[in-house]
Amino acid sequence: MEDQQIVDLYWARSEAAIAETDAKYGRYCHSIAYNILFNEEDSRECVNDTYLKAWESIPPHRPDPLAAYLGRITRNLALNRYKYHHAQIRGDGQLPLVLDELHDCIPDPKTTEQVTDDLALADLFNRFLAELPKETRMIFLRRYWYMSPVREIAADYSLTESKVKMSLLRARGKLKKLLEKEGIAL
Amino acid sequence: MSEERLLNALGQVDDQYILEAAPGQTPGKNRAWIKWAALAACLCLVLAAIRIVYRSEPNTAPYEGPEYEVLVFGYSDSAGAADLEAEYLFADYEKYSSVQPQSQVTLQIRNKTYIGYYQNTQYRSYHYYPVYEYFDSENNVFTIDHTGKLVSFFWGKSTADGKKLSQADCLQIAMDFLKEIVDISSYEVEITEDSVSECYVAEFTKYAGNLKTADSATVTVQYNGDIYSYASFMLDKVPADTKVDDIEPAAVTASINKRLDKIYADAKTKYDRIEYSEPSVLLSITKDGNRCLVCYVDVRCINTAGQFEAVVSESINLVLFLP
Repeated sequence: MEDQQIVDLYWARSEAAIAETDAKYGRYCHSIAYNILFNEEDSRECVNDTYLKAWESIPPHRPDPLAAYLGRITRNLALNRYKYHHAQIRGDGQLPLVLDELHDCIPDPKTTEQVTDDLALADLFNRFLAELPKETRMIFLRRYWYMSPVREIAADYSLTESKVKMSLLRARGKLKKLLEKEGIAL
Repeated sequence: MSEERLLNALGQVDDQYILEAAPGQTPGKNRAWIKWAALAACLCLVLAAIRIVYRSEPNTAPYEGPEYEVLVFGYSDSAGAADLEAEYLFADYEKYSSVQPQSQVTLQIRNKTYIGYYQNTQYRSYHYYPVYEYFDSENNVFTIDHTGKLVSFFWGKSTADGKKLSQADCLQIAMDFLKEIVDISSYEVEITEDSVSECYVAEFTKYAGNLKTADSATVTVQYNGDIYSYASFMLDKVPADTKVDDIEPAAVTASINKRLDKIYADAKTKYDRIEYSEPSVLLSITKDGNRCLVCYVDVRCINTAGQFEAVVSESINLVLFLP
């Protein structure tokens, strides 16, 4: 079923919307949640919560593209659930590794003064991504948006793991430079 | 924590980047293809050999009557078993791209006046014409089509007090509402209760002969009598007197199955079994004003391992052109 039709079902308040969403995007949302939570049951709950949030927010929203809208909800829910479960300790899954890697991008506080809101930061990310070569951008987002393991990215893109790691390292370096250049404190 | 802030900000990047990098997408050049092609080819040969020995196709008498042209117009994005490509586009961009939607419209419905401000233009699935979306100052969202007909309206849950009305009363409210938009005498209506959302859902469908058309509307009425939402599809676009007695059901089934068999010919060598659901069929109208059947089919590609079955499920949308 096409996205617009699924959205129409949400608008018509037909519960078939949930079943159609699950058939089309269940696997996609599950993979996002699983990479963060590394737990089958939690991931399933997260995906179900995603459908509930979609049900509550469509209408009035008419998301286009639907995949990114659902993916974003799943990612936020999974990150919140992770935080709830791991308030103190860092467990399994890709998130602790991803957070460690992102530490490389944090500019030195001595070099930055400006405190930036999240919207401006998202705008900076858009500009940063627009300038990356397509393959590097895809690798960067697979790692830090979808939180896919490096091994999986390497397999999907037919690259060696070290090539993926190198590409990520360079991208993080570029991001750090951009944050410093714009004087952004985190 | 700074890293988490970065992670959260990254969550807000443009949709285009999120979709571009979604698992399953590869960056342009598909290097893996070359590496695996030889192996896949060998595997296919082995599977084909096994299948010749172990599988037998069901014996059905071949259909030999007239056939209809069938094209693919959509499929689920999880569809991977077949190499699919949309072959037909319902939207008539050429005709409507020059139509400039009004930046502001005044809508009068249910004794109320709404002033809407234009937001965007959309083409719904199997619709040849665009719908224009408007917001009013109270954040009500509604859409109208190119003729100014109301296509959808979302009011949302009202907290107005009131006792629970009967199903018949709510149906009357839904009918009175739709009468303001279209002549409902040619629609059949079915009403169901949704006790979780505390509302009644009235579904209006137009039939041509005994064939369900794509021309339909749904009105959701809360227990207190307030309308929660309204959505319509191809409303008033498929005449109830559209000729249908010349449509040969056996030819429809045979044409759809033949097309599916062609689409899944390659997949049939990779899976133990491929099953098609009974197609759901709606009579509709194309941009040329001709009759067509819009068909939805769920396809299950199954591999068996002992007592277990691994199922890849996808859906495919077909349009069957009627002469």
